[in-house]
Amino acid sequence: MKYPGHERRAGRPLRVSPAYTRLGELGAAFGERSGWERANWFEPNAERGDESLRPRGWAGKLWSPAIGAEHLACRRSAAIFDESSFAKFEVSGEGAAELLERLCGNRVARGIGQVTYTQMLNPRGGIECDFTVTHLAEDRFRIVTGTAFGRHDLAWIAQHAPDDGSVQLADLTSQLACYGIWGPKVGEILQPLTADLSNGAVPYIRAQELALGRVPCLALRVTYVGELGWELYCSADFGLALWDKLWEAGREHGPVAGGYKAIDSLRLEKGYRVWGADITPEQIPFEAGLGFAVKLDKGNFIGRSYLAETEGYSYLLRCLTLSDPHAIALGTEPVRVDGYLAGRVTSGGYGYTVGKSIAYAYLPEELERGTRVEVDIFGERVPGEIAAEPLYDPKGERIRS
Amino acid sequence: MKDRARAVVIGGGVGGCSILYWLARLGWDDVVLVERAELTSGSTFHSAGLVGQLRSSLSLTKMMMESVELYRTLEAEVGLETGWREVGSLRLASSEERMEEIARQAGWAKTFGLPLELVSPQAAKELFPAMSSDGVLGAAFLPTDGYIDPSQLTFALAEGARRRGAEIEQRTRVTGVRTRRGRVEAVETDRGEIETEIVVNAGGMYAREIGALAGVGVPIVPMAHEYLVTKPAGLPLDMPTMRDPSLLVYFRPESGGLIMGGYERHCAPWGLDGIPADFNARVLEEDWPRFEELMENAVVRVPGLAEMEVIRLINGPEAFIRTASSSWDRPTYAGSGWRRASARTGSRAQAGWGSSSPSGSSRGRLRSTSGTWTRADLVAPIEAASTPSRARKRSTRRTTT
Repeated sequence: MKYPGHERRAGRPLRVSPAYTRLGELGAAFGERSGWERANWFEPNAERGDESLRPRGWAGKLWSPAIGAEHLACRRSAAIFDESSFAKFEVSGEGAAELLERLCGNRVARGIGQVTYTQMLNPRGGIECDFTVTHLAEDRFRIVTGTAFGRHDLAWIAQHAPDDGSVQLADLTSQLACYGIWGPKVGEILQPLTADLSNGAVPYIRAQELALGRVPCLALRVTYVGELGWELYCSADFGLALWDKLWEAGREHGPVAGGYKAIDSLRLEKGYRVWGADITPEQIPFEAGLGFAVKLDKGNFIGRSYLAETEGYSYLLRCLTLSDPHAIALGTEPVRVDGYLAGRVTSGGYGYTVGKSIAYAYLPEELERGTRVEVDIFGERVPGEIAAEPLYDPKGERIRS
Repeated sequence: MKDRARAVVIGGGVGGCSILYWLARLGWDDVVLVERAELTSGSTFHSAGLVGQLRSSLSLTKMMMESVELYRTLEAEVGLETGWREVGSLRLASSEERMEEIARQAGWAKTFGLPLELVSPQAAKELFPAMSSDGVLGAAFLPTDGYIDPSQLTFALAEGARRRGAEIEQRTRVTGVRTRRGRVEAVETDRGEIETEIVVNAGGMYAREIGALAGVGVPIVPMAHEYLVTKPAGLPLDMPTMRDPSLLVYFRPESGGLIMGGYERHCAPWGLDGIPADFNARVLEEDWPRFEELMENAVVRVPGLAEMEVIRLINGPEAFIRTASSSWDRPTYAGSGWRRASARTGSRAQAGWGSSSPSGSSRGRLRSTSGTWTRADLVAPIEAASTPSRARKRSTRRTTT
């Protein structure tokens, strides 16, 4: 019997981060994604977790109290996540800006140092890619996307790139390490390492090249967890040194190493979407609640004419909270409203800060907040309601503080 | 043979012919399919033909439901039989975990409007009288599943495509795929070149070699898959297909007898050093030691199998993909024979049968029980069974006693 989230053992380890041995020393429970070894959680953190929150049934099989401990550490002090497996590309050349503007729903050539969250759409407005684009230099952009989406996203860009030599595409996934460090104490942790980040000189959703100790880095002030902090990118050969530097700097502030299961719980509370589950080529950004990232007035881009002509939409991705904190939706479950089938869960999990079982589902657009729903989890109808989104820090004050 | 086409499909199995049919049906009539030998001669002709619609992926499930819609009408459309029998399918649950699994699947099916009933062991036995309900706790019954003759289906799809203007070139071997700056320009064959901008690689177990012609890595591994065909034994023709995932086996009615196969724990990769160029309409030698685990399991579920005469153990290589993921412990199909590979290290696979199996004991027991399972039966030409019908007559020797 294999449960959702089952980790294969064959052929491992294959691709590892520069900090892999350190993660192992810290007690990482490794999972695998696209050949990469990644920490799901760190076993020693389980001591600080709450076993009584273990979900019922399948969701409790591949689970640890460490997930909640790491989640709460990130919200209350700071947590460091090794995200070196992120797929990373560089799009460069005199035609790079034009290409990206033709493919992205958002305006991305906004000036050097700007980071933009955007989607790339197909001609039907469906979401083909979902990532951030960083404007590094006039003719040079960095794209960072999910570990498992690199090949797909790069292929989408390559298919549409001009073949006149004006655009170069490079996959930098293996060349760059990435560590995410988030939480209210991040400023204190990084202060001794660099002056560039500590004084708030870099506003939210901006990039800065700097040195952390002696390690040259690109710091992106972005987040997938909803806290103040950074994604720090450095050349892979500096990767181990950077991890050690961050870990050492954080020691007195007690940050924990966090894993991908904690990230998933954190992002659920913030309503950050997962491509392939919450958003796919079958949904348009408006249905997914991502209309804020679409600039219909920026000029033409693939999918624009479809979106411009679309008058309303019948389904909307909604955040549900369930009444039973031990009933966790894993995705695919039917959602009923007034006893009628209204949609299916795209992703779900437990939010350790809000203390609720959370699920997302596309539901008829007209349903109001507070509408009662039932989610069919393993044959059990679990009551819940449509909640206002995001559940945590709706004004984004934590990110900008 | 035309020298230019809007798209070229490589591979004349059920997958390639289905793609060709749908391209033509959706208005692309300027399309060509090239097949190195004859239609179905790769792995389609020896596919067991079970059709299950509920997949772990949203898009695959929708495709399978669309397929069943087509199977209901294709014969009337093209005047060729497909062998479609909408007899339903049973999936047994023999543990609490499997009961949870089918409860979860029932919810998933509901979100598609796909009929699925959870039934008692007694009801399952009424549907499939040959089975023992010992240890069965429940079952999922999908009344609109069934089985089909993969070869007949392929010929019907091909006919439907031809009627809409598509062309099919058999005995036409692809020798190269010409690309320029990463884009396809033409497909080169031993009968000339076809200019095209779009190539569909439907090569099944040859997909890796075909992809390599264009510099594309396709992680396909052929695996030798075995199932046996019994002589007619008076079983009802309209029994559903039946799977017992805990015992790893599947059953299908066949001319009053049964087809029985499964997915053994120690799988057998084949052709890793290249598939012979003349491997057309051929199967492999029967491998009884590898099948023993499945045979033992099958007799637990269908005791009468021990008394039934075996016409042939079909051992045919099929394409498995190494990296697909699935939420459930069930194979995922795309086309005729693409399944999730149960990723195993070479060392485990090699350490399988031979070193650890209780050699031949159960086979001896079975033979003594039935008195009919003889070598003569095993080497009977495959034409004795109504399907599959295209295997070359080969003298098959059992390599163990």
